[in-house]
Amino acid sequence: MMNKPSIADVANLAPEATDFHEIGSGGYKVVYQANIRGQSEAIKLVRIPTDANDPSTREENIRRIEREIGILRQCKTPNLVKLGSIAPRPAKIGSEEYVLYSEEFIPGKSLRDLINGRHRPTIQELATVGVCLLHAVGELSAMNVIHRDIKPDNIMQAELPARRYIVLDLGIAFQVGGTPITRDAGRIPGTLYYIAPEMLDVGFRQNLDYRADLYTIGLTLYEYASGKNPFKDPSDPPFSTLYRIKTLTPAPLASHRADLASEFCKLVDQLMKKIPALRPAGVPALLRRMEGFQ
Amino acid sequence: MKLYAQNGFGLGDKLNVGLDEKLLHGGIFSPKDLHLTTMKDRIGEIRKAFPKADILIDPQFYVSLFADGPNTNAGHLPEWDYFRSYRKSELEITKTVRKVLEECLRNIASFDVTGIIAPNLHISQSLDSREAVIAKSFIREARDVYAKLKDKRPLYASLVICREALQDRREFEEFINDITMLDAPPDGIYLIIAGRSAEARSDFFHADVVANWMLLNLSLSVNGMEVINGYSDILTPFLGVAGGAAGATGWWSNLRMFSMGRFFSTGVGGRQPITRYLSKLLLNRITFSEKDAIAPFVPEVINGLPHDADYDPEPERAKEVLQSWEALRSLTDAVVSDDIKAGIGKCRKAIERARQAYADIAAVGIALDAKSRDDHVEPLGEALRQFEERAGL
Repeated sequence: MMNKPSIADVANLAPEATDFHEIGSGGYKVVYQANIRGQSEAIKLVRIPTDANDPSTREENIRRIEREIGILRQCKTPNLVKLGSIAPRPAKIGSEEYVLYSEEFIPGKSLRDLINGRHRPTIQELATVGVCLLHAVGELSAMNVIHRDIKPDNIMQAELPARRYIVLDLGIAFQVGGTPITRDAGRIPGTLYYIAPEMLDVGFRQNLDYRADLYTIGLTLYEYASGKNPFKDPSDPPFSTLYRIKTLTPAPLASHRADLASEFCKLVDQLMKKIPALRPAGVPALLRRMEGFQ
Repeated sequence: MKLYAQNGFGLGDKLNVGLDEKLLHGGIFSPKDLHLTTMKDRIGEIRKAFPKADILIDPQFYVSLFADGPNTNAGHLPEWDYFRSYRKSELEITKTVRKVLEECLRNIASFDVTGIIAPNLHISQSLDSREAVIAKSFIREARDVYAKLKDKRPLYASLVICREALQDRREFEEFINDITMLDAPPDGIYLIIAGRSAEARSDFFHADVVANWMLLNLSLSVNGMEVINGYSDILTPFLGVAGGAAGATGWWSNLRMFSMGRFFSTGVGGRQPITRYLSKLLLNRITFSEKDAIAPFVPEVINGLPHDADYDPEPERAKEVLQSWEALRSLTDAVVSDDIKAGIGKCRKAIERARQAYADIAAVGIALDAKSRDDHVEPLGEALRQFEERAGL
């Protein structure tokens, strides 16, 4: 986030919390770890971008945050992050508007940390990640919600027996059949290297379903296993990346990890197919297959 | 991959012989072409003699939209309780779809078949049409209606699509995305691709049509559905490579490739077609005399299989289909494997061999009949390329 507020300013907005330190930030968001009544929680401060010429921009962003919180409130699966003790509250620092709320703090490393540390996961670890992600996507899809931003940065290794991996950040989740939040139909939400190919089609919102999340589960497993995102080339302009996402078939996972079971590699490759119909759908059946590799 | 007889008029003992010689794994019966009682008897006999054979009935409900037309030739179909004329507007109502499904499934389940094929209509123009919406409704409702019957036999939903509808890539992908996201999918799909005429080879041997037919097989099989390809004839091995569980072909040209024309009277008589020989090398049928003319120069045009002996001299008509089934079975067994990439590689080699053989035939100056020529070779090669690219293989 540009022009981040000072920790002292944030602490003033949440007097019940102490010991703030920043643990992450994005375009419109800063996340702090803080202590609330002896427990660590993740406090999220989300800026509400406004446009003096278009008051609806503010409304759009508030609705987006409300939707994220609404979804988290309904979720029961242990593989999605839980809300914390601070309910969403409007806040103002200087002339900027924010919403502040808390989520549980999950100690541990993200898959991104593990990839950056050149960790080489076993098939059991990979399958466990797959199982946890499928549980999360299964619950979201039952609520007609598509996460749309599953990626190594949003998955925490929690080291809790019932919650080995936890999915974070439903900031751009999509409600199938819900009221549209984004007014710019041409905008593609998501993180560049993790956009599902069908989201690049004109009018994709009409046809989007949870198989977009199955694609990013496949891509996340592929990257975690191989250490490589097959579409990533930071020297390329975004347009070239989008073209690759739409047209490039990644090298089979087995070509990077010949030590993994070929059936597991094939399953990951299948989840990354460009046409959703070519991905095996049906979360319960996928879970059974993934559990078979644990 | 399994091979079934696509039964029609003039069944005789062909199916029995095909099963007895292990050329076939089963057969698909046609209500149009057999008296209902005869069909029941024949199925009973075959099940008794060949208990492991797969026996199915195509409900041919797709004729219902034309059932009261002046030129419609529904044969014995009106003997079936479920069969009557329907209008599209009636079938747009889910309650009607469920009623048709229930009547038809009950009717067919009363036969000693090994699986039940559910009815559907023919998507005659586009996958983004009223017909396509109705067809999806039949597929979506089939499992739930079938559950009421408490029948343990596998359920196959029908999907009958005109080849033109396969040529719009966006509509096609949206359609397959829809039918692979069913809450309660059937065990499989009985898939028919229809041309304008069973004689119009270019309708079927068209790169877009074959590639999309293969993609349908792949997407449905990836999603756990067993695909039975009706009227797939020489395309059977290609569909098997893409994930198809079975293909079917019969003894007349209208049992090898599907056209709704099969259910309309042409009012024109005709002579018996020329007896042909299915050459694995050419991926095509040639006439008896062409076979004899080519063999001295390109001996591999002969399959080297037992039914080759029937062609010396020219065989009686009933033997022709046995030779076809034998050649197709052999070709399918040689090409289809669990590894899709290996299967595609074998298909590509088969196409390359056919291309070379046709060049060799041309080099010795043998002129071929229109149906025997190599028009299918390039489209098959292009179809494989498209399939591989779009399936991300």
